[in-house]
Amino acid sequence: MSETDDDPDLLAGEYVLGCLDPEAAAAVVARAAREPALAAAIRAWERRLAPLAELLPEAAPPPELWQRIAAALPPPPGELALARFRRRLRLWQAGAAAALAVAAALAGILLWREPPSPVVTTTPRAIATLAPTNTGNGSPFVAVMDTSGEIAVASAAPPSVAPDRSLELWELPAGETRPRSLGVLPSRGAYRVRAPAAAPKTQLMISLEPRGGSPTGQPTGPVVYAGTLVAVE
Amino acid sequence: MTEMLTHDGAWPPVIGRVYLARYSRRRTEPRRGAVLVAARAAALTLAMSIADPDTAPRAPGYPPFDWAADDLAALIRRVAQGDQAAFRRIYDTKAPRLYAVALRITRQSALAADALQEAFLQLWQNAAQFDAARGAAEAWLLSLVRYRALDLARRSGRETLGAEIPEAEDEAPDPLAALLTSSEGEALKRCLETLAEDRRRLLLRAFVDGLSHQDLAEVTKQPLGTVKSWIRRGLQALKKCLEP
Repeated sequence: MSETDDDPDLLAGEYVLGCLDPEAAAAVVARAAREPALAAAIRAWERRLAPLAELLPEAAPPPELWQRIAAALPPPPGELALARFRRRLRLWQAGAAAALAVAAALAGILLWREPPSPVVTTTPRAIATLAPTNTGNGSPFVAVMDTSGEIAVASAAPPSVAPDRSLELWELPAGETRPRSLGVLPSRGAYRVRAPAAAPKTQLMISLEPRGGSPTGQPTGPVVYAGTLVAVE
Repeated sequence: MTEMLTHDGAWPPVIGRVYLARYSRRRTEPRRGAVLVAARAAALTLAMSIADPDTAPRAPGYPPFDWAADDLAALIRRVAQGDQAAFRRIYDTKAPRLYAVALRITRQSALAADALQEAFLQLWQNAAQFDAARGAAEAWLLSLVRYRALDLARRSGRETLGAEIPEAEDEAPDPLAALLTSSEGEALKRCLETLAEDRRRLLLRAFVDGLSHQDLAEVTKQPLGTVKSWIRRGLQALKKCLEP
């Protein structure tokens, strides 16, 4: 195999086939920019394999797709000048609005030298960082439990989840062995739930379940985020 | 999420002999593009005013068949002149097949629509770079869509939890019969049929499903090295058969 590893023709074939990993594909593209032979080989493979597209039955694209494409086309020259003027106008308007906002804020500070003491309706009692496990990815979730026993769970960058899956939140109080479901996370935004049994040292976990949550009442998919509540009082 | 998974997931598009610097082009091009479009429009108007058959009154006669209306290469040349009707015509005739291709690779209708949108914008912006002398307009357009779809699929595969590699579709008695609509397809079918069954399936799943070496090793339960060498031998045999 090693003597064919560098064969530009096979490399081109693999690139067009689509089976290279992103790094290898990028290397092929970079090399093709320097080597006309490789670029020609890529074109030749594109031509050879193109009939394979016929193997799939046609599928109607979403009806609004044409509108999206047409709207994204660069505007004809006449409209462009107008658009540029409008953009500049908007920029001025935005600038003016920002200046006004700053002025108002400064005025507010002057008038209100004494800041009112913050009104706190709930006090956090415990917090947890739910870090991605090795089957999870991306940024962690943060959970905050207040003194009323309500837990709020949120992530700055929630992961995208396959359409047929849901993320489900579980609690495992210290010393127990069976996690209890705290419900399915919404696809966006924070999630709040009453968790009377949760306390500092309770483990919180998020597992990947079939859409709508585990059918068995116990986690059925991998735990993708996990963490333990820590008291902050 | 996207900040964390930046360009490392890219599937860089190679288009014809032109390598698109996608990001830089997007940002810097519009103004220059507009000037070009304006210049082209002016040149066209001038050319038409010199010889404009439409201005002369004409009795109804015998309309010529407009073969170029369905010739993709001719349509792409018109798109290069800024002809929106030609662009629309390409979309109307080609989008259903291209969408099917993108949908199969990305497995999500939103991603497939994104792939098609990006590819058609590339078509609009880079039609002038299509070299009709080299032919293969269909392959050129298909490649625009496939590279975008592969790129989006590889990126989302890293981000989407629980996404699984789909099983192969049930095979029809003659899965390659659909290739018989063109002479190129017919030759490709004949040559694919000279390959051993499992290698042929490997090539098809890579091209049609957009599976990577790694994915293929997983679905066939073969070591990665074996899959790689099967693919290479399959490609070699295919080329030899198509161009003896």
